[in-house]
Amino acid sequence: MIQQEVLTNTAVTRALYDEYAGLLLGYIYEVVKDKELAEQYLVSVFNELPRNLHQITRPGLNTYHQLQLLTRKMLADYFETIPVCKTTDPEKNYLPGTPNKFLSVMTKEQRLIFCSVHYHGKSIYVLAAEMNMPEEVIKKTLLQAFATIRRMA
Amino acid sequence: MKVDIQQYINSGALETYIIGAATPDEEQQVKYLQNQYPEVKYALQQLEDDFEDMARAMAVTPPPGAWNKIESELNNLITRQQTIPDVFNKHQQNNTRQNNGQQYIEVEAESSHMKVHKNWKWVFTAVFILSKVFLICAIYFYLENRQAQQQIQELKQELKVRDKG
Repeated sequence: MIQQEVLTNTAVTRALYDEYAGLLLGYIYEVVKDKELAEQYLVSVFNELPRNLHQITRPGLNTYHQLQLLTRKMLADYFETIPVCKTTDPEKNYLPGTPNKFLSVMTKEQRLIFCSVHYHGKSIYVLAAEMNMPEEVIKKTLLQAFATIRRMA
Repeated sequence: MKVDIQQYINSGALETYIIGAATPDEEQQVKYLQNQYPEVKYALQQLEDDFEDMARAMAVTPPPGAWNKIESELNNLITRQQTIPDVFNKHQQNNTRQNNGQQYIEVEAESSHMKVHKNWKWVFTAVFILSKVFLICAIYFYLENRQAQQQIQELKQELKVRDKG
């Protein structure tokens, strides 16, 4: 009975891997900027997956969003080690590792906020304190950044 | 909860939730409002699609060996499940109880090991060394005694021979 459940979980995990591993690896690579380390994190995420399958595959929830949240959780310790997300010098390596067409069309402020929250795992509260801005303004800028992504997608 | 829905949608709260930066309270609010208001649900779905589209555009093909590593770990999980003795499984089932639809597992310390203070290490070492010293002494005195007994026997025999002579 338990073995059957585990086998089913493996099959579901494989299906999720086929569909979303590339998307998650793309995100992880943007965060860690190291292919080997990114692969290690991807393996960790999918090893953790069977314990979270019930939540991730729940009807009505976006599977990629749930996987992304799990990945973000797995990267929590790594986020602590990343320096501040600067956007003034695009040649430097603190921005995502591959050319990012979405970030490139954002305004400097949108880019900084989106990068800090999405790729550096910062909370709105911390970012607002760091930038000396109200949280509402940070959220509004995030909304504008998503509008830019929608136009590009 | 009375909320101006359009204002809420335009506040960036949904984007904060999608990106994973919402606080637990904000998450609960989003979940509540999406169940209450179709426009919130629709806006959220749009954002989820946008987020996924962005991820698809940035996707990186995993290396060929990545799945094998994951599968190997999952197979280990199956092996571990198979090697759990039935007695433990039964015990585990007994310790699992239902409560308001949620499962709880009673954790009970059943280790057969005993923890002692580190200072006892020196006491045990001293006892061990003393026991060895006593053992050596016992063997020594036993052999001495046996030799003395033999000498006594020999002397007795000598005396008997002399008496007869």
